[in-house]
Amino acid sequence: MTIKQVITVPIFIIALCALFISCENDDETIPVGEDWVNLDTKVYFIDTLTIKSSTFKFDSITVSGTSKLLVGAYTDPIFGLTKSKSYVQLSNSIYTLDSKYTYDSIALILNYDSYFYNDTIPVQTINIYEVLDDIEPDDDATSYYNTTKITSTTTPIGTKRFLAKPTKDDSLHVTLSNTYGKTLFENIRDNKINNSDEFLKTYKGILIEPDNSNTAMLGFLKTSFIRVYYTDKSEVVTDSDYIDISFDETNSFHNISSEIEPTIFSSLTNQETFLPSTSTDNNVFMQAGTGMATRIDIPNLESLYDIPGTGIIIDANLKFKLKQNSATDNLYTDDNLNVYIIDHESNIVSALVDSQGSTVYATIESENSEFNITTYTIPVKYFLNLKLTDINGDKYYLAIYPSSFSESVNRYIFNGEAASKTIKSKLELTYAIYDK
Amino acid sequence: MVSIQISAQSNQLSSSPYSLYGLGLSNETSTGTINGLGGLGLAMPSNRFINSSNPASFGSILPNSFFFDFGFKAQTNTLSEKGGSNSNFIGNFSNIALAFPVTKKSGFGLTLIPLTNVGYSVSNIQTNIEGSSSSIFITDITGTGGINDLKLNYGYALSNKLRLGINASALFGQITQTETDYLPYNTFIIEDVNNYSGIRLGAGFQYDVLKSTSIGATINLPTSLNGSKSSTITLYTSDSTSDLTENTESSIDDFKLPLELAFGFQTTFKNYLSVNFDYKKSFWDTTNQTDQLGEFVDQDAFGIGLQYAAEKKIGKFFNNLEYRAGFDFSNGNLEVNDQRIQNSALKLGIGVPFNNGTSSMINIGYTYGKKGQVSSGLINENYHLLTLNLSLEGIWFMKRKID
Repeated sequence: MTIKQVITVPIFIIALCALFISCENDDETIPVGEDWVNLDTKVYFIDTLTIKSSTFKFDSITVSGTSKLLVGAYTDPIFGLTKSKSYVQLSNSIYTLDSKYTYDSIALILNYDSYFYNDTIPVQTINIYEVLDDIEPDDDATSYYNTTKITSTTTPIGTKRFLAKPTKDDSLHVTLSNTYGKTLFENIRDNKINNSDEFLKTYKGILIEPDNSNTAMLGFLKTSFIRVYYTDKSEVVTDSDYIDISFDETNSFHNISSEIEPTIFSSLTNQETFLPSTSTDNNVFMQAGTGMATRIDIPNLESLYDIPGTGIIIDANLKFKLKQNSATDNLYTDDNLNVYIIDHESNIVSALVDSQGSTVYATIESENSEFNITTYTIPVKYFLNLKLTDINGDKYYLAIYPSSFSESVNRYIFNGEAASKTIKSKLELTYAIYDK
Repeated sequence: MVSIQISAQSNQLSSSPYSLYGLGLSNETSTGTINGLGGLGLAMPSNRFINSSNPASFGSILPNSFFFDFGFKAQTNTLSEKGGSNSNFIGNFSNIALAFPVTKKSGFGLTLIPLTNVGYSVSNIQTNIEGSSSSIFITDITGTGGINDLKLNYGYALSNKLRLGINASALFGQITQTETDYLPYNTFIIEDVNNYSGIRLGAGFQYDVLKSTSIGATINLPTSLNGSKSSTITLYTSDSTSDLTENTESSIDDFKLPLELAFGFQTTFKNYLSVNFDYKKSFWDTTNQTDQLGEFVDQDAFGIGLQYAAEKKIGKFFNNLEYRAGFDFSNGNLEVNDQRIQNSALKLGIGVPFNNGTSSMINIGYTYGKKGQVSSGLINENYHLLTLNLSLEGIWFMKRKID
């Protein structure tokens, strides 16, 4: 080895190493000075805060302004019989008919909404009754409630046994009694009824009521109507025509009730009674239409302040899971649930919103098909901050209930906070301490 | 002038993790020719440039002179500690100064110069989220700002040999630390703006021992800077909308600046080679201050500078240049793990005169410096600092010789 080589080889190696090291340093930024920074910020993930879930039932829910009318009944082993009947005020606009016309027939045409719940395979029966009192809200109320009732005849003016095909058929045709139809037609033709007031005095409305058999809950549109057919027999060839009497959209509503056998819900006589999940086999319940909802209480939120330092809730989500196999194809669940802030008397304070003021819902976070676990999540950071800062914060709870609460009857069973570890409901909180 | 400086301070004036402690790094740049020399130039007069190191020097401003000094700097740092290194670059305005005679025997000057500079960026700090087995969050911390020194100097020549001076400084500034925590679904930003303000007084003298040899000394009295903190906490959700903002105002501990005594010496050989030597002691011990990083301790700083200026010859460019070199050493005012963060710097400088009958000159200085050392667990910081000072002299009230 020459002297030149002795010198150049190590220099070459050193240069190569230097190149390698400098390349390596370019590839990743190494935090220089990391140890020098006294990082005060600490972030905690907390999923052990106590929550208490319970079932309660709103005394009544308003059903004015729904887009559909529910008619039907279904029976569930836990929820019992759920039944909806609809009161309809009629709105007629034709009061002049030539005396040459004679009555032919009358039918109630019910236009299907796409909504249905439970099994449509069994034959179901509906009865149509005449309403005997004016259809109007109760004396002290301005809107109709799911509990509003109006007197009706006991003998039906029409009965229909049918197979419900809400997705296939456009409408359901119910023939009404000719006695009812003929009188109605002649009252108009013979000018016994000449305007709406006179019409409503005689024809206060109809009640569409299902029988109690376990069938489907059906939704009908308020564009449904009564059609009266008549003919002109003075012509050589009989000419037939009809008049349509539409539904008054404002004064048509459904009454939804659950006829509960002595079940776990028997004690829910008013909305200030709560059925803790721990006393219902670690389940909580909700059902649209009847007003059954789940209440979430976070009783020890202030224990966050036991962590020393000034902190801030970074993120908070309430997670709860459907009871396994409780939802079926017939008794299906929706992907979104409504969430409201309520007070200790279960009066609604406001819809749950996020910090931007946008309404938030319970949404499906994950669906595990292997174990049939559906998890819903609700962002509750805003709510927790409200609880911590509002003077009435300790009286605020969350009420979770199905969407379309006033015009559907979907029911849900969720696991409570004391269920086994993998399925229990819990509050997941990310909390940061930034100042000691 | 103040507004210029404030806007300049909003940029990063330093880029060193050492600026994490206290009020930041002491400013190393100065005015005029001093940037190319070592030391402070405490014995130098202000008859050819603004020497704001010693107020007594302002007693030597010649009648009819008016000095300006604009400084700029550019710096590149290489930081290394066990396991890694990285580099960065910053450039900025570094000072503005003016000086003028009041009488034949006295002069006045105003200098705006940083007292300290803060500029650091520590990124990618990983911390576990407590209560979860695998989640982490990542933190970036940056610091910017610094303390400004608006300094009024007044110097008076008691005799041909002895000059006395006093100075008063308005110290003010803002240091902003921004911590950004990247959490799994949110970003959390904590911005602390610390404001400091205070007044500092000082005095100095210069004495010409011989025609070519001078000494000088200064004293800066201890003072306390009032601090206040304004914190803004902002939480951003994953879609980058501001989710929550909170502002809090709080008072923070005053920051104490110590008594500083400094002594300087300068002599010139054969009219063209001059040597200066300066020593400064800062009595940090008595401030009893600690920082999260360490403890403040008495600091000694030495500096030596050499300047060569050949006899001026018209038309000979290189003959007219001034060549400077120097060396600074400071044992540091902070002790971390029983280790002092020492600072040493080698300096080179050049002065390019305007040759217009004034002392106006472009002064270019280069510093290669080093702070800390890797072996003792500190960060070793090497830096190259380039300074440019436009030191301008205007002649006032002088009749032109040829009209």
